[in-house]
Amino acid sequence: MENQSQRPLPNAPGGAGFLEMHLDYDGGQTLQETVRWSKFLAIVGIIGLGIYLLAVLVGSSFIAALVQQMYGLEGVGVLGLVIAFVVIILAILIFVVIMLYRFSTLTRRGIDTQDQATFNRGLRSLKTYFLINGIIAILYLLLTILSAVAAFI
Amino acid sequence: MENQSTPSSEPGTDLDNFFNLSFDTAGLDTLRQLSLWAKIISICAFIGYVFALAAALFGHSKSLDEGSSSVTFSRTSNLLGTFLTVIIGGAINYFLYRFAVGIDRGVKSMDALKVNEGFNSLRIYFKILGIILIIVLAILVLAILIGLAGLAGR
Repeated sequence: MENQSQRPLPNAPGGAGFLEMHLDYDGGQTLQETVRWSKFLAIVGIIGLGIYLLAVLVGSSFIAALVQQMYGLEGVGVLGLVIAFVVIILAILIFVVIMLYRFSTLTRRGIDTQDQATFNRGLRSLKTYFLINGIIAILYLLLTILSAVAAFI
Repeated sequence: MENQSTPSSEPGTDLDNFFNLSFDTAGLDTLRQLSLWAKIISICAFIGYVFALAAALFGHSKSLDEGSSSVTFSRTSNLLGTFLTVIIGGAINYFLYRFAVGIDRGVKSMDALKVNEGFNSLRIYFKILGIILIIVLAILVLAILIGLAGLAGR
C-alpha cells in the first residue's frame, strides 16, 4: 500500500514523465481498434481509387479517339487537360489514403514492438493525412460557399 | 500478507506499463498539429453544411417552369439528399471535433485521460466511416448483381 501511494504518477511534477504523457492500457486498446478501422478504410480506399485511376487512364484513350472524330485536335487538347486534372486529383487522394495506411501499420507496429520512433512516425502520418484533408476541406468550403451564393443570385 | 498480490495483478503497475510508449515532446507537437487540422476539417464541414442547407432551402430554381411536377420532385429529392448529407456528415464531424477538442485539452493539461477520450472519439469517427463504406459497398455489389441478373434475363 505504501509503495502504491509513493509511486510517482506519470504526469505528476517531478515524476519521470513530467514532460511526456504515457500511453496507458486503455489508450493503447483504443488506438489498436482505431488502427484496425483506419486500415480497413485505407485498404478499401487504395483499391477503389486504384480501380478509378485505371478506368480513367484506359477510358481516356477511347474518349480521346471519339472526341478527335467529333471536334478535331482542339477537343483532344481540352480533354487532355481535363484528364490530367482528374489524374492529379486522384493521385493526391491516393497519397492521402496511403498516409492513412501508414498511420495504421506504423502505429500498430509501434504498439506491438513498443518502439517509440515507429509510433511517432505513425502519428506523423496521421497528421499529414489530416493536413491534406484540411486543405481539401477549406477548398471544398470555398466551392460550397460560391455555389450557395450562385443559388441565391 | 502485504505482498500477497503479485506485481502483474497489482493495479497501476503492470497494466500501466503494458504500453511503454509515451507522447514525448515530438509526439505532443504532432498531437497539437493533429488537433488543429482535425478542428479545421470539422469546422469547415459544419460551415459547409449550413451553406448547403441554406442553398437547398432558400435557393432559387433555375427552371422557368416553377410549378411543374418534375421541378417539385427534383427540388424535394435535392432537399432530402442535402438533409441526409448534413445528418450523416454532421454526426461524423461531431466525433472528429470531439477528437480535436479532447486531444487539445489533453495536451494542454498533460492529462492522458483526456487524450484517451480524444482517441476514443477518433475510433468512433473511423468506425462510422467504415460502417458507411461497408453499406455503400454492399449496395454497389447488390446493384452489380441485379444488373448482371437483368442482362442474363434478356
